[in-house]
Amino acid sequence: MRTLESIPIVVEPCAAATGMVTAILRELEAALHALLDHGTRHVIDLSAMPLSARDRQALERTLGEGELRMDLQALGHSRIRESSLPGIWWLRHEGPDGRLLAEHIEVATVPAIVAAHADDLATTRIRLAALIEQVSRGGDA
Amino acid sequence: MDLLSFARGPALQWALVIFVLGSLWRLAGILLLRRKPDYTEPRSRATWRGALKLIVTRTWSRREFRASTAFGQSLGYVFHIGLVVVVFGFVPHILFIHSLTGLQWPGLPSSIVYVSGALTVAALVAALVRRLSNPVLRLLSNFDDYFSWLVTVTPVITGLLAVAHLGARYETLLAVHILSVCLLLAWLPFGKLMHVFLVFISRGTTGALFARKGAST
Amino acid sequence: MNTQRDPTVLESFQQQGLSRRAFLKFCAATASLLALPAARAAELAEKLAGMPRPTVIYLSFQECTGCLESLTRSFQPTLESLIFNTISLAYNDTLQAAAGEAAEAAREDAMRKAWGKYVLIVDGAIPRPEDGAYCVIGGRSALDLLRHAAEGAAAVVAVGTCAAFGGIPYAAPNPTGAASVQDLVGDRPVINISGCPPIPEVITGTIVYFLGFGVPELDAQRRPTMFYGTTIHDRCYRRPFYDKGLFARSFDDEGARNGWCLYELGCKGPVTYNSCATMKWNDGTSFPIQSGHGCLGCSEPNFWDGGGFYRPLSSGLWHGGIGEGLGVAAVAGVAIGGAAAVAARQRQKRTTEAGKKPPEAP
Repeated sequence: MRTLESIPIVVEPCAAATGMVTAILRELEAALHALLDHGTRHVIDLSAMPLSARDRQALERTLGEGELRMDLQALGHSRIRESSLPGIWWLRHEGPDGRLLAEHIEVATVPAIVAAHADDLATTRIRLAALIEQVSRGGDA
Repeated sequence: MDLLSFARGPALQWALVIFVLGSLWRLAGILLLRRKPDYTEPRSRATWRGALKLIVTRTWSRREFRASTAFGQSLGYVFHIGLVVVVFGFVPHILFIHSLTGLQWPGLPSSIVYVSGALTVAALVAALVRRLSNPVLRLLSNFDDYFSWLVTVTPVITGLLAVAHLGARYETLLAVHILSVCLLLAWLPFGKLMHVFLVFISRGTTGALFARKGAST
Repeated sequence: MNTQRDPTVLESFQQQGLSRRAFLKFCAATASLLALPAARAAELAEKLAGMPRPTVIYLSFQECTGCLESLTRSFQPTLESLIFNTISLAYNDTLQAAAGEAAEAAREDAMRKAWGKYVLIVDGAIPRPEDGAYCVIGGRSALDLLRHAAEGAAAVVAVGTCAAFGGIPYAAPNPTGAASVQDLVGDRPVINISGCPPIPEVITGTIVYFLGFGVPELDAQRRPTMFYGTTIHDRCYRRPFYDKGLFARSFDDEGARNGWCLYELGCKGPVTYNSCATMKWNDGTSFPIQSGHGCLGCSEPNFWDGGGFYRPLSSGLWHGGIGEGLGVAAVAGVAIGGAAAVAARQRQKRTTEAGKKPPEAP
């Protein structure tokens, strides 16, 4: 009897290496020049790139891992790693259900999503003032 | 109604109607004509065999004429065979014929069809150049010759453009290709393209007469 | 916080307990979806952060609710559901809790407050005959509701093939006289997001793009070219098989199991513009061709009348058979040919008779 399981699935993943890794590295080079000369940040959207499995491994190997690793818990988990090259960051954003939302390589002193925003700092000032009042009145912090 | 639906719908329907009506009109008109009564003693009664034999032997020129006709005849064979390969070997075409008649057969690899199509266009263009450059042919050529050439080469060119997705959006290319085929179908019964049926009738008739007279076929 | 003015998009995120960084992640994901370059992505985040949530009125007419189902997930919060943090959905008769006169009054109120600025989303076709009597909601015809709502809209987004092109109500013989949104709305920008249903990310992506940058680049059918710019065929992973001429002949045959092209089984991919082959469905799980069924062409006008889902593109597009017509043509052809032959034979006879007469004596 023919069932769904008896139909063989033919899977042929594309394993060949394309020239994408070199292209991405050159784009990173240009972005770094811009960062040094003008202070502008640059983001490469990896989901928009036709990367094969081998390309991805090669890119990860080439960029390597640096000394800084950050975990962001907002709308699911995001992993931010500095590569072995300072200023080049690899960001992997996942949604609340665990699926991949976006994957970026950012060239910046610090990724934009990491730094605290001026508006948030203003909110912090207000909340901190309230907390200080609460603590100094003898309440628990 | 968009162009593609028009081409696949009313245009194709009417073209097929005109094709059937026109072809049967001309065939009936020719076959029902009186033939001059032949009062001679027949040398042989195997006229059907003679008819069929001549159809085959006339596929190539007699030795005496070969030198002057070989080039033109070869060009003709290239585009005739090329058209057969393209029309009857390309799977989408087989599916079209299947939708009309219910008949179906395995198709050829598409790359063979594309090469065949390109060779067909080349041979047709060469044939036109020959017709224009040869003074005798030029003198003899009329509207029928040129228009029949045009309605034959256009489907092949538009078909190649369509599979290459070259020149416009695909649905436009496909619509233009189908419309060019409609034009071919509508014109076929009324010009020299009618030879698709008549070649067998004319060769066969000649062969039958020759056989009756005892001439070689 | 200033409670007098409406909250901005960012503030409404924060009110839901989502931080600025969560908002930035949402913007990053949406920008990736829209394939925006980095500079524009940052621009989108900034614009959305500072703008108040626009009022959106969602009107449903002759529809099956499939488009709304595509957009929403009732049992799992997804990225798409966050769209409702970027917009203020003032009316949607399926999702809202309110009902009856109160709901209708609330809609009128929201429209009045945001007159000229709200986004009108429409799904479903609109019947025209008998003053629109074939689709009446709350005592008012769909025709009337659309005309009134479109007057105060900044833009009209027609979601789904029914709203964009008429869809299934419009299919032959169109007994209700259904029309599409663009047939009825002439003086407001109309964006068609066609598909039966459209891909959810296409709906949300277009709305977010509109909020950030206004009306996107549209094709001749008024669909955003960023999602409808290429055909399924152009991006289909089975294309190499089409190019080689390897087609599946029937469902589940050898060719089908090897993933060959589905042209012979009626796939309309070559003439269908949509993002199914790249974005796919259900979070990128699959799309019809990957699951072994040819594309229906559901984002194109009149796809229901396209000759049959299982008849290939190269077959004729006629309803019923062509045999009868050709039979009549055949009989007519023989008749005309016969008549021509008879006339010719008369001429031949006359010529022969004339030839038999002896010449006049001089």
